Amino acid sequence: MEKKKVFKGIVRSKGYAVGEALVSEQPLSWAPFTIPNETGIISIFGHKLTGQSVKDKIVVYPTVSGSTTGSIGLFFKVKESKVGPKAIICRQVHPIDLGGAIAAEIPAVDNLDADPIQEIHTGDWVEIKADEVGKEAIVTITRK
Amino acid sequence: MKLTPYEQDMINGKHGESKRIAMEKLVEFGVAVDAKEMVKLSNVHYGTCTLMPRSTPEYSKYELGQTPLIERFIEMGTRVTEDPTCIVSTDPLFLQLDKYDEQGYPWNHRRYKMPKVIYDAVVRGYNECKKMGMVLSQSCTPQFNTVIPKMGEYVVSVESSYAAYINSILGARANRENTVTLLYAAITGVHPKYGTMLDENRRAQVIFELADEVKENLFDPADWAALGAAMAIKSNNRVPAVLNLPRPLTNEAAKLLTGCASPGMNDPMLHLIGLSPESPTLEAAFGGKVPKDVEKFTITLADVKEIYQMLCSAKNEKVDIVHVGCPHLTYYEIRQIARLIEGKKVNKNVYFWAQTDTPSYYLARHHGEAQVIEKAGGKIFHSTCFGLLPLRDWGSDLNIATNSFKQIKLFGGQGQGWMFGAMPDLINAALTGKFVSTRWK
Repeated sequence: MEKKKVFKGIVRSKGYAVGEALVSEQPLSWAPFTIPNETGIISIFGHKLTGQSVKDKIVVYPTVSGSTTGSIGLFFKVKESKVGPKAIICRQVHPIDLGGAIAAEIPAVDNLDADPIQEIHTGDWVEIKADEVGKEAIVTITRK
Repeated sequence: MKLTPYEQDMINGKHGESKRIAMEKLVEFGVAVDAKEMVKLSNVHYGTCTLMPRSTPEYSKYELGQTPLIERFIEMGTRVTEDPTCIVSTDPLFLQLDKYDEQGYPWNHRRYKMPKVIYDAVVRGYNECKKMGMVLSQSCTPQFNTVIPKMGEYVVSVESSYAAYINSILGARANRENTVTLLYAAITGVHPKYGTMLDENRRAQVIFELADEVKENLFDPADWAALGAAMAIKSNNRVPAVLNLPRPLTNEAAKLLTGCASPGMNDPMLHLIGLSPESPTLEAAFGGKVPKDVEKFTITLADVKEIYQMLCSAKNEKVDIVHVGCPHLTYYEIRQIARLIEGKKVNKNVYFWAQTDTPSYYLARHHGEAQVIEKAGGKIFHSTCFGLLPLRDWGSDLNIATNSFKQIKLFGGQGQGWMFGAMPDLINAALTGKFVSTRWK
C-alpha cells in the first residue's frame, strides 16, 4: 500500500523537484574528487554510499563535509556534466552546498519538522515545492 | 540587505557591468544566508583556475566547476577589486608549470600522464588570473608568506585550513567559503557577513582538555594532524575550546592542527585558550560565561593513536607513493625531511613527493635541502595540489602513505589504499618500499 507523508521545512534555494531519494546518514561532499564531476558516483574515504550514483536523485544528508569546492562541484554536476542531483535536503544546508545549489538552480531545503534522515528512506519518491527563499518548503514523501 | 553607497553604486552598474553582476549574485547569496550587510575584505583567497573549452576531451573529469562561472568575466576583461587594501591571492594548481614534461612527479609518472590539453588549460587559467590582477601565491598556506590577515579583518577563503588558521591563530574572520561567491568577492572586494564572521557564531560550544600525556608527547607533524582529527570528529560540528596545549606551539603544529578544518569541521574555528587572540581565557571563548551543561572531553594519547589506525586503509605494507605537504610543507619541515633522507636512497619502486609553496621551495633550493632530497631520489615541487589530479585513474592496486588527515579524507576515496604515519616512518617507507608504523610502539 502506498504511504504518503508531508513535511514542512525552510527554503534555502528555491525551485520545484520530484525524484527518487538517496539518503546518506553520513555528511556528504560534492567536491569533484569525492563525487567525480564526470561520473556522479560517490567516492569518499570511509563513506557507506561509496559506489552509488547521485544522478537525478533527491539527495538527503545531514550536512556538508570536506572541501569548499563542493559548491562548484555541485553546480557543475547539475548544469554541465548532467550527473547531479535534482534537489538536496539536509538537516542544515551548509553555505558551501547552498552556493552550489543556487548556481545550479535546484531546490535546497532544511529545518524539516521531522528528521529527514530518519523519515526519508532511499527509494522513496519525493516532491519538493520550494517557492521563496527563507519561506516554507513543502516536502511530500511517497513510499510503495 | 543594507548596502553602503559604494555597494549600491556597484549594484546599480556605476562601476561597470562586472561589478553589477557580481553584486547581484552576492546579494542573492546574502539573502539566502540571512546576512544583514556586506563586509569589506582584506583578502580573497581564490581557488585554482583551469580554463578549458567544453570541447576539451575529459572536460568533466578535470573541470572543477569554475570555468562556466568565470568565462564571461574573462570575455568582459574583468579585473579583480582595485581596492589596494584587499589582496586577491590564489590556491595551488594541478602541477608545477615549468615541470610538465619531467618524469616522476604527480602529473607525470608510471601510472599517469596529464594530457597536454589539460596542461594548456592550466596555463590559460594562470595567465587569465594574472591578467585579472590576482596575486598568484598558488599556496594553501598563504599565511606564511603572501597574506597575513590581522585581528578583526574579514577574509573569504577557498582554503579551509587557512580559514581555520585565520580565525584561530590570527584573530581575523573567515568562513569555509563557498566557491561560487568567492569569484564575486574577488571582483567587488566585499562579501555578505554571515557564519563565522559574526560574534555569535564564533563562540565555543564544546571543551577539549588535553591530558598531560598528550601535551608532553606530541612532536611529529602527523601527531598534530591526528589531534586535530580527533577533536574535529568528537566536536560534531560544534566550535571547540582547547585547554592545556603545549607552549610554544610551532608554526607547523598550528598549521596541522587547524588543517583538520576542511575534512572535519564546518565552522573553521578553534579557541586555543591562551593563544587565540580572542580567547585569553575559557570564559572569553564562550563569550563571557561557560555554560554549566557544556560537554567536555579529555583527549588522551589513545584518541590520537586511534586516528593513526582509522586513517590506514591499505591491505598490505607495500608502498608505492609517499607524499608529504598537505597543507604545504614549511621550510622548517623541508629541513627535517632533508636531515632524515640525506645520504640515503629512495626505493626504485617508490615515489617520494614533497609538496611546498613557492617561497619555501626557493629557500630550500638556496640552502641546499631541495638538492639533498633530489639526490636521494625524491622529488620536491611547489605551487601544486596533488589531490586535484584524478587519482581514480591511477589504479586501485596502489598504496599511498602520508601524514595528512585532510589528504585522506578529501582525496582518499578513489580506490587506493592509504597509510598514515609519522615522518621517520614515511621516510623509511620511501627507502624500503614497505610502510611500518613505529610511532606508538
